[in-house]
Amino acid sequence: MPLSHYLDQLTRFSDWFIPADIAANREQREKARIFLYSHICGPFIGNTVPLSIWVFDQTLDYRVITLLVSITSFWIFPPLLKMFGRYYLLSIISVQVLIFTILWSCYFYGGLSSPNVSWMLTIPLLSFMYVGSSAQMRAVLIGQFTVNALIYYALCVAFTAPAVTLATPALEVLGLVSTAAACAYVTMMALFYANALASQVELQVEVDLHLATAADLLAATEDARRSSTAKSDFIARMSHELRTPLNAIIGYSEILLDDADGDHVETQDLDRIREAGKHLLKLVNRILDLSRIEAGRMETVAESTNCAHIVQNVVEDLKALALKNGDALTWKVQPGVGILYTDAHKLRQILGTLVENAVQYTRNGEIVVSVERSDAPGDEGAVIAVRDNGPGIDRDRLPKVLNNFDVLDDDKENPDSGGAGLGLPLARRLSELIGARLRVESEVGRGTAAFIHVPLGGVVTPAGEEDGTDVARTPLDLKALADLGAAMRAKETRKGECNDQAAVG
Amino acid sequence: MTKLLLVEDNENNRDMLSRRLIRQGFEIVFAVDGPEAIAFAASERPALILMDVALGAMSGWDATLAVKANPATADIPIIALTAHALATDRLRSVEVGCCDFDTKPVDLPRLLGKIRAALANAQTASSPIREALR
Repeated sequence: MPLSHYLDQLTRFSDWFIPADIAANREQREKARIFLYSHICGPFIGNTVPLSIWVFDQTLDYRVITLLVSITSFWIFPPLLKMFGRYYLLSIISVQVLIFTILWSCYFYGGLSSPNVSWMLTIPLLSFMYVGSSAQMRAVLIGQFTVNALIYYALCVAFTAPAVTLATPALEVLGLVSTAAACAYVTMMALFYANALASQVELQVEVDLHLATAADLLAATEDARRSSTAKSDFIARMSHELRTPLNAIIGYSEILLDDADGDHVETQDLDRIREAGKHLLKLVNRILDLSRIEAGRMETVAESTNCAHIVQNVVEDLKALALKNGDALTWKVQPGVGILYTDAHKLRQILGTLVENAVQYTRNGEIVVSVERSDAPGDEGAVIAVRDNGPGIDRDRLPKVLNNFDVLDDDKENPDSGGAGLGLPLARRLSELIGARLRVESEVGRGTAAFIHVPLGGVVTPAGEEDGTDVARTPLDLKALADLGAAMRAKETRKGECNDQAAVG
Repeated sequence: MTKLLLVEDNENNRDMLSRRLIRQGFEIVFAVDGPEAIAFAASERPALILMDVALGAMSGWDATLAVKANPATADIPIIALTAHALATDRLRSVEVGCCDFDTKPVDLPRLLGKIRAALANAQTASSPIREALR
């Protein structure tokens, strides 16, 4: 359609004049377009009036020249808009020029019965189109009309309007031309406006369509989230249901062990029941932790943490197992590691998994747990290393061991190595959760080294307190707990308290 | 004989723990839920309360708050027992006024250490945790 083609051309042309900040706002841009259409096309239509007068009058006097100049001056507005922005100021000036031009053409060519009176209609039409919905600007415009009308009235009273020099037939033709031009002008603006409106409606339909799609997506996401939550809720509930009887198995076997009257076979059997129960409990706990992490419901709580204390603790817990496997399990802490601000419980869990793995897989070897200070700028903290001289892990399998739960299938030659492959992936995820990094290096036949880089965290006490008193020895670090209590009360973290307690007897 | 109040709704757990504690020379009184715990704390005047936190309708936290709110029982030390060693649980136990916290399944030597420390503490200081939290 040729008309729409020209309209597109015109739109492209006028868009060139719109400054970026106005173009960024859709409503502003539409108003600016109307403004530009009117200013670009206006002089073509408006100048028909002074040109007609010139033709009829056969003289080019100051009245006609003023009209020609003021009408043509509308072409200055697009470049001004491009250069200075200031849309509203330009609108007011433009309206002022329009009012002046129309009043001028009426004053000199017949007063109230002038053939140009019809142009008066364009003043409110255009000016209100320019300013859009701004109430303040509308008020300014109404004030502007009033002031102009008053001035015009005063001038009419003070100076008698000059006699019309045109003959009556010429005036009639001028009236025709002028009215036709005004009609054309109003029609043009109405068309532009209707067009803008139509494109807005189209846009709205498009937006509605997208909104509907977005709502569908949201619903689908919500469904997926719900089913995922339901799944992890189920796992959490089941884990607890499993844990209660397991506690009984472990507890009663311990009671029987207490009672066992030196019968070696019986003691051994009871010990096996208890160990199997503990192993199963560990698996259940790991599954529970993983399902919590997957559901995004694993909370972390940072507190003042003494690395040395944790290392010592973990090593003491695993001494018996190390002894059974003929391993020498030792630990050393570099002086000056100080106290980190991290989730102590999770750090202990991670380290426990790493040391346990090292002890499980190493026979008659050596396992060393060491803590060193990391001073790399922007990377301050502590590096806890667990080194063993066990069988090592194949280079290809290393990433799998860290990421997947496939040790169960792969590890046929070491069926009771524990953890069903849950340990390392869980340790890795827990590390991520507390902002630590877990790295494993290994060489087949030479051993494995696992490193946890724990960031310093927010608060740190002066170095050299790694064998300090309070934090290391007492089960509850009162000061840290008090700090933590205040911080948590402030944050209201407790609202997401783990819902699994309810299920445990 | 030192009297302990064991608050636990699971029969197996109650039986196991009480038998083992009796063997260690304690006298055990049971409560199976929160209201019973609050009543027995007042009537039996135990030296210490072992409080399971998952008790059904009224949680161990609420029962602890009630025991601590009653001036007659406020000085009885309470050790919270939870299924998981979550930092939030540990914090909650301190907030409601427990003097210590342990996880289930119970590691008897560890729990005994905590019980003895709490009993010794109860005789000397009123509540170091309260002061630390102040």
